[in-house]
Amino acid sequence: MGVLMSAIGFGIVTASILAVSSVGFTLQFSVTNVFNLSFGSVMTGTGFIAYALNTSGVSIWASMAIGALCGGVISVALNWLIFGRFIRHGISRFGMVIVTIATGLICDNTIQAFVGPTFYAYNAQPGKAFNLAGMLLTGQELIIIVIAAVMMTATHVGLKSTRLGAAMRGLSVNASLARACGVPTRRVVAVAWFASGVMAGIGSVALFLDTSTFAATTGSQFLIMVIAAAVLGGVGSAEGAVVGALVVGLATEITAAYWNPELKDVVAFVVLILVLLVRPQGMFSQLSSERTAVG
Amino acid sequence: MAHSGSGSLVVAIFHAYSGPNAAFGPEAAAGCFPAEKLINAAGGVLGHKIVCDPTDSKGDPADAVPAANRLIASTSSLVGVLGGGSDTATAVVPLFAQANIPVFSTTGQASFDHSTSPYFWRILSPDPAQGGAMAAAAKKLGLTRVATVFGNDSSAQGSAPAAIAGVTKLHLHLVTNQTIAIGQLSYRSEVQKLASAKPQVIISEADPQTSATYLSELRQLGTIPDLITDPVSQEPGWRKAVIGAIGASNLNARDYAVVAYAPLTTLAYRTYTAALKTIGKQVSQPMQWNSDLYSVADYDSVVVMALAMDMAHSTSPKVYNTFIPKVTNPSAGAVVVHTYAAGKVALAKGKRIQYVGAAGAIIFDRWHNAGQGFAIERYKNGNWAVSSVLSSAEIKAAF
Amino acid sequence: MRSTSAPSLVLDRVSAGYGGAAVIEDVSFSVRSGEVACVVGPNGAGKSTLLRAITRDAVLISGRILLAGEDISETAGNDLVRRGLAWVPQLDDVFPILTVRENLELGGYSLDRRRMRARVEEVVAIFPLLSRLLGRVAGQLSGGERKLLAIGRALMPGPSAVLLDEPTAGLSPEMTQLVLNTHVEELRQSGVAVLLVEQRALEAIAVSSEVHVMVDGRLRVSKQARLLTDGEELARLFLGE
Ligand SMILES: Nc1ncnc2c1ncn2[C@@H]1O[C@H](COP(=O)(O)OP(=O)(O)OP(=O)(O)O)[C@@H](O)[C@H]1O
Ligand SMILES: [Mg+2]
Repeated sequence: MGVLMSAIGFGIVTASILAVSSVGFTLQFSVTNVFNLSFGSVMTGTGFIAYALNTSGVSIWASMAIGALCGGVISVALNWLIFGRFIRHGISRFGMVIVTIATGLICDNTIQAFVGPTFYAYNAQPGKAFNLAGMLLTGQELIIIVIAAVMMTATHVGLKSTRLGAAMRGLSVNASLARACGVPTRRVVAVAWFASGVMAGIGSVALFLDTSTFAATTGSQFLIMVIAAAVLGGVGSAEGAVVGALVVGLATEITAAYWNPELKDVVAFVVLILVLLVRPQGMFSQLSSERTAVG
Repeated sequence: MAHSGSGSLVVAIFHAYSGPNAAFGPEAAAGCFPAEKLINAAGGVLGHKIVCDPTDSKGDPADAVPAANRLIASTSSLVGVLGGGSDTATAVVPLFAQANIPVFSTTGQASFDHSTSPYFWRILSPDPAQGGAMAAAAKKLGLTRVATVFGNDSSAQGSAPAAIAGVTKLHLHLVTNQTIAIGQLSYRSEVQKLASAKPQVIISEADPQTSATYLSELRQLGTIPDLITDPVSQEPGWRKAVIGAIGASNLNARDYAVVAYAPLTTLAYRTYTAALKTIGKQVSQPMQWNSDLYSVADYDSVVVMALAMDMAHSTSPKVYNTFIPKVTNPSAGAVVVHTYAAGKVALAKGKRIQYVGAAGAIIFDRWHNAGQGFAIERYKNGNWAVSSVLSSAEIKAAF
Repeated sequence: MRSTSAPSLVLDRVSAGYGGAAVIEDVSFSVRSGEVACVVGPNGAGKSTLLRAITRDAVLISGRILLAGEDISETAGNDLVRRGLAWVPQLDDVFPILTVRENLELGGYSLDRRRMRARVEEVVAIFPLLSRLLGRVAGQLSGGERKLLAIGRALMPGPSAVLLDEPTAGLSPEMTQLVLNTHVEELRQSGVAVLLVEQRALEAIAVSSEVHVMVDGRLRVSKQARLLTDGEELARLFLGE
């Protein structure tokens, strides 16, 4: 019982960290149809911005917030400078994926040129561990869980109950009809990129606090987990990304607790494949696969 | 690249100069060029100059194999090779052996422990010896409740089995034995299991990020037990990552690094470092390698090649190869020498010699493996310092 | 109420395409408020492209488009709705992942929030069938339900000109009747200019005052509808004789 409860607690921490990033990834994908593999680099970039602030005396949470806003700006800029141009020139979806990979590599290597091939750590105390119903969680972890819960709720309410949210969802399935309804598509697309960059920023600081050290490629290294959670839940679905993150988090921690820690990834990805076998579109997705990119 | 001027003998530095292992090349060059300098200063070998020739293996077999073939075909005066690191040795050692060229490899792979290739030579200890030495260190430090935590990558797995077997062999209590998937977002469940097993010491090797994540999560559960690590923990990147995770004082108080050991105070070693200082043209910042055991072993390798040629009165690789153990292994009436110059003089007088090099005595077994001693090092006042030496009996007990 | 005599939607020598060669060329006609004009023609003639040229979904190569006297040739696609233009595309005419209510609300995106709410009730009153479907996801509607939603969505902002692209495609005869004879007729009576593209040429002509026959991207014939009720003549026009 004790082992199970603590594995669940740890799984929730992992899920919280993954969920913020996964929702950012999936939200932007659902609105713009760009499967953005440079997302990990945006995470790393914002992680380092937060690091610069943090080491010059700003608290880690304030650094996270400012880093997240910068992430939003970076993300909008990438779309404005690079992705949007390709989309307007009618690039294929696959071609667009390659463009995002190339952009990610350029970003990672540029970051590496500045920070070098070494490791960095935030100046932040994990705080005392609290025992909550058998789950041992530090103050820092509790704050991350709360931030993730707030972000997820805000995203859900934003998408489901605001005009902007409806416009985003509408845009995601039928851009030309949304335009005909008066939705300023360029602006809504920019908002989606901004939101995704903000979540990349929050997600990255949470992730880098969790791994305790990070380097120029750490964001990209974890992108596969972020995507796994998003795909598991159904790409394009924010609720799906949260559930996907929980499945990945719990699967890995329970594997490590009860079975063989070497097989963490194996179990997570076997679950992913089994889910996709039963529901190829993921657990929650309603999107068809024939949409075109919007810039 | 191959400047095989008439009469000179080429020793290839066949290592990665690019790619993830790009440090291997300069590391070996820091051994070769000082040897080249000292040998030529002593008049060369049988009237020929030694020339070190860097060749980039790129650290992966797909590039290394054609590079090795090209090297063999185009360099008629090739007399020896430093190289084939862990990344490429399996692929290239047979190629050089087939061409009858002696290869002094720095690979740690256990697959070469019982190598039957007559042209393969290894001065440094293989990875399993490292694992056994880590177990022996736990015993020596009086730490009986031992946990092992190794990453599931090939580097860590090289020493893990011997470490685990060694703990049992030495009648220590193995409280838990973890192989962890490297590069994970969290190790909380693994860490909790480890903490509940209450080890006094963790024997461990993993990459910087994995170690940092693991140890930081371990610290969140309370205190960190002692750590027995290997040369990985002496890499600046590993230290930086782990210090970021648990703080320098925590790390320095806990970490016992078990590393291959050569007493770096001997005449041979001083001769080497004096020459190393002067090769700034061939190797940038040469002194960064001055206590690197791989560089030291490569230095000894070239000296051994030259002495074997002198003794064989031949620069033919096929001929001098069989003389290699005759200049290193102890034998009745042999004069112990510490430099090429001294060895050359003694051989000229018709004496038998035993070269005891910068890395210490080199005693090849029948599989051409020599193997070094190990020491426990601790980080103090900005430096690694030997805190105790593991005797060969202590290490043998772990096997 | 607008004057029924002023032309509301004017196409003046319009050529348009998709970035390459022109698909439609030199198309001119106008639709008055309170009038239905229909465009008929064989598959691939360019009827949908003509509507897309108006909505900015195709590239306007040359010519002008006027709405209520104002030139909208340069207006951004998402501003057209504020000028009074509504469009029901041939395919992809609803947002399938949104509920019926959300579809209607998004149709009223250009309205303020209060007006949008009130307008949903008004539109549902026009299409009573939708009232019990408001919570349903649009992707799960039947073809007929879906078309009514698409038209209702287009009417949300209270447009002065409506473009209908084959609104009866795939509908039953009863449903076709409902759409053409009831809803299109109601729109006309309320003073809206309706531009109707139809495959069911004779049914469409019956509710229209002007007919334009498009073949190969050009208008072959423009006639008053009451002068073109003969099926055989129409067939000849389609075949280009
Ligand atoms: N997005 C597009 N890109 C390029 N060409 C297109 C596009 N859409 C349509 N076309 C081409 O333009 C021509 C006219 O097509 P359009 O859809 O306007 O015909 P239509 O008269 O509406 O036909 P239908 O009665 O079958 O709906 C066709 O040759 C079609 O292949
Ligand atoms: Mg059409």
